Amino acid sequence: MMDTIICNAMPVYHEAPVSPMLLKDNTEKVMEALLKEPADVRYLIVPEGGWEWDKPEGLTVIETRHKSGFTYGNNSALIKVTEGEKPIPLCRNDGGICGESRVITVEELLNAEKKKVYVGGKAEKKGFLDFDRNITPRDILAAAGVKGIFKAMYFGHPMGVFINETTMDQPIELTTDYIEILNETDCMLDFLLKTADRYEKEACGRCVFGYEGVFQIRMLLTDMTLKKGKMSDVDLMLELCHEMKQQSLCESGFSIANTVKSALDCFKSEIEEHITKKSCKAGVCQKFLTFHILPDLCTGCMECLDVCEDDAILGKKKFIHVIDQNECSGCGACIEACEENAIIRARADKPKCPKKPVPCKH
Amino acid sequence: MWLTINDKQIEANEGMSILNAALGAGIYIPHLCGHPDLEAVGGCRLCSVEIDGMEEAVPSCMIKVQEGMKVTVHGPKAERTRKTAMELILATHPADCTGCPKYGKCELQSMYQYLGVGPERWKKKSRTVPTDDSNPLIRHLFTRCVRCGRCVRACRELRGVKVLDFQRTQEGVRIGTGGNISLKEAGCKFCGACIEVCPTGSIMDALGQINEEASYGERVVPCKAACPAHTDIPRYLRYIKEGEYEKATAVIREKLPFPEALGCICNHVCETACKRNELGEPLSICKLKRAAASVHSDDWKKNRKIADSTGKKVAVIGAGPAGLTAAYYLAKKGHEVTVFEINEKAGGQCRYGIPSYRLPDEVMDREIDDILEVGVQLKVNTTAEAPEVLLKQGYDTVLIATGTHKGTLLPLEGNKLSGVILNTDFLKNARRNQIRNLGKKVMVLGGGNVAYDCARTALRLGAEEVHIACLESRDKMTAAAEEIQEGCDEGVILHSGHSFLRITGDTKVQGVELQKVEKFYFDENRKAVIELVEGSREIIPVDHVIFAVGQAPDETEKLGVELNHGFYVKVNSSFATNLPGVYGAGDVVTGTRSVIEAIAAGRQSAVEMDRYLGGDGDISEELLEKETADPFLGRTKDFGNLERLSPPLLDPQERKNSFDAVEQTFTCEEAKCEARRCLQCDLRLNVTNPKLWNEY
Repeated sequence: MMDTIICNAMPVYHEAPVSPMLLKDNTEKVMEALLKEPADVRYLIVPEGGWEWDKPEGLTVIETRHKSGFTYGNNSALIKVTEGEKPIPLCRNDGGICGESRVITVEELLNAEKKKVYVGGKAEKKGFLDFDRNITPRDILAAAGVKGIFKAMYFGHPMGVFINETTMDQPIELTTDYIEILNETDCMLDFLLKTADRYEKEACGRCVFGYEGVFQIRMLLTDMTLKKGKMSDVDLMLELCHEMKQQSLCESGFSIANTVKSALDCFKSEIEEHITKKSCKAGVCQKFLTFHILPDLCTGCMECLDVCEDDAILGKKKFIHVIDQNECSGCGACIEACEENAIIRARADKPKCPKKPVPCKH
Repeated sequence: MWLTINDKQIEANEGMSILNAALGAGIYIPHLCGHPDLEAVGGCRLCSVEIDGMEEAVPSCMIKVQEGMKVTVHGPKAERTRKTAMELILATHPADCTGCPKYGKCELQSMYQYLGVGPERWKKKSRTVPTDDSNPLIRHLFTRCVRCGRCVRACRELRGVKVLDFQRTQEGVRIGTGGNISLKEAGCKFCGACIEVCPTGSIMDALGQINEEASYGERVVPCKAACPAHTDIPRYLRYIKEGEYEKATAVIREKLPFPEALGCICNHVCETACKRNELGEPLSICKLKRAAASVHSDDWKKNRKIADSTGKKVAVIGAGPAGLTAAYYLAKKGHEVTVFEINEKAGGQCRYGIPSYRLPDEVMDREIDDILEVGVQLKVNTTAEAPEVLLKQGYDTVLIATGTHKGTLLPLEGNKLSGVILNTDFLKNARRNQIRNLGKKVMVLGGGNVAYDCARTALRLGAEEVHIACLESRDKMTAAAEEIQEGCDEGVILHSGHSFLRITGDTKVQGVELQKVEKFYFDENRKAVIELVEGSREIIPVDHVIFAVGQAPDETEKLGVELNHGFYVKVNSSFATNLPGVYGAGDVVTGTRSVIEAIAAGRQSAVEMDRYLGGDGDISEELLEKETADPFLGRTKDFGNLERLSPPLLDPQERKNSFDAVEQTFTCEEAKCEARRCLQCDLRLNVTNPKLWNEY
């Protein structure tokens, strides 16, 4: 069998196209290095479109569509691409059945000392930054900055790791192209759900733990954001994540499971409060927002009472109106109706309000 | 090499997976995405096992055996992984099994029962996908799909057709074609491998294809099932596709001794059954058979077996296709067979009923010679004694296969006039070159193939104007559509939907009076009802009238056996008449039927007669070593729309002046091209059936 080398320039995150960027900036250098690699057959896999090549002999360039970024991080999936098939993984990169084919990244070919990473989220300097491969999160934060109060740092696929304030000084090996910085306005549960949703949309469908596993994670997390979560769901999810880390066919299942597990390690109480206290500290999860009428501002004009379709507002003329939280559906119509700006949305901290209508002070 | 599974020492070959080694040694490990004919992918994790020295459970399908390996199938980690995997699968699978067409035959059902788990711990939500009945032959019911990917691997890797794949949609990953185009557009070859490997009821045969009464093999390969002789059609078409005519002929000859004759005139019910009808037109099976047989190879004779003499004597009355076929197989079983033929040549209706422009003499001569070669004695120009006399003369058994050689004369005014001829006499005399002065104008009465045989023969004998009149409308006529068209091209004037009122003339035929039929049907007592159009009478002036309205056995009353419906020899399901040792087969029993049915009856009666003579009745033979068909099909451009080829015909003006064969043989290239259209339905039967847990 022929020795094959595959250089992969497919980005794992479309918002962090590190490999294509490096390739565009160093096209000749990459080509040269690739042609020097000992192999009989050489492939270069790049995202479709926008390339102008002087295709050198001895190299097959495959332009492919970027639809499932995560699987392009898998070597067996890349071999499938060279065979004209979809990027559906057969085993993990350490699974060792890639035969005679070797996969190399653009960074490896360029022998780049630094790791180029896209930093997003609440970073002050959003965009591409170069870091040492072994680095502490604190150094990353120093370079990227944060808007507001720092809460967490998320290292994307294939790492799937959260860091909070307590582990900022432990060095970490950077293998992802994507870091997101979260601040006090981010809800960890909400972020986790969005991450799971993305993994589910990108899943190839080949393995049970990758596909059905992430489906269950998304369903369980959704319930929690909809006030339907149970504490047993957290344990079930952790049990599932343990299996997924071992048994999912490729790295995607591992990294989403690790993401969930590490979020629960770092932010257990914030996530569990959604279940135990029915509250979202960050005020992101819509189901946990409550509406309140501030007694100091209410004039007892009946306007809000008239627009409430749920009949959730109690009161009469010149009495401070009160919202019955059990009846309120959170539509927000009352806020629009109140000319005194007496109605507010509350996150975790609720204003003090009377339990039932009392006469207005003014 | 040796390894231990569940404390049991087992031997395995290097390179084997643990799963296959275990299954081979009779140790069951559940598995769903794995299939004996497909590459393992490790997707379902139901085959998880624990291996000494490894921290976590591993999928046994993906791990190769190693010397001294210690494997535990039911360790706690492996069991937890396995059960969780099954629970996750069930969580999104429809909960109700009883409404599923695969109920009781479903691998998933069998396996979750084995594991004893359910989806209760998880969020349950089945992913509803509308059932897709829009494709020919194959139904998709993907609500039940568990994404094991077997169909994808069968389609892409085993068959190389590359139509099915994992497709990402708004609602998740589904199996389907790229861009959700139809299977035909995607290049599907409709081989059915996907149906065969699907462990659930997600890919099924289209509803019309499921005949619960037929066996599975018959249902899957309907052409072979429809052929009265059960010729292995897909197998020989595969050889034709490769241009290996000798081997193709050997395959056909395993079931019948008249491949080329049938290639000329078979009524090919196989083509009606062909699954390719669902895509357009069926394979041209009959003409492909002719192409293969036309090389006249003797290769098949190498493996022909003729048993040692048994000392038993068999008399066969009538050397038509039924009689000759029975004689052939009985002679091969070691019996001394004598065939009595009243005419000067053997062949029966193939010789004296079917005109030579359809079935040339030399074809019959050649194939009859092959039959005589195995030791069959043929006595032509000989009227056989009655069966009872033959038995007394020392024959151990007798077969009556005298066919239907007496034409039917309708009770019609003028039917005794000079110039009235019977179909059977006309065709036989034409064959013997004994017809002179046919006159200028001929009317044939009847709407079947024989009517056309008479009409087209009359043209060739010099008639200037030939008419056919029949009661049926053109689309209801029993004559084959090609026959009607070819007759029309040669100038036969068809009066379909006409009743014949009388033949006019004093002593000699002068014309036939016809009247248009308004309605023609059979009532509840199967009596013909004819309603005529008033004022539509006309007289067609003709010199001769040929009756082609059926034929019956001749002189069966002299045979001394019990008869049916007046003329037909009565036999039981074992082809035996009421006289012990006397059998009947072919048209004389069934009335006029097809040649292939007569041949099939000849085979079956030979089986019964051999058993009667003390033999085992086994006439099956292997003329060609059984090969394993290549499961790989590859892609073929526009496969679903490939058009049926037909062999060229002689020019109508030219051909009506001679008895030369009208239809030409496919060239080798044409034959290969046509044979390539075959769906190779039989390949499905080569797909291994995974054994379920209760079979271990």
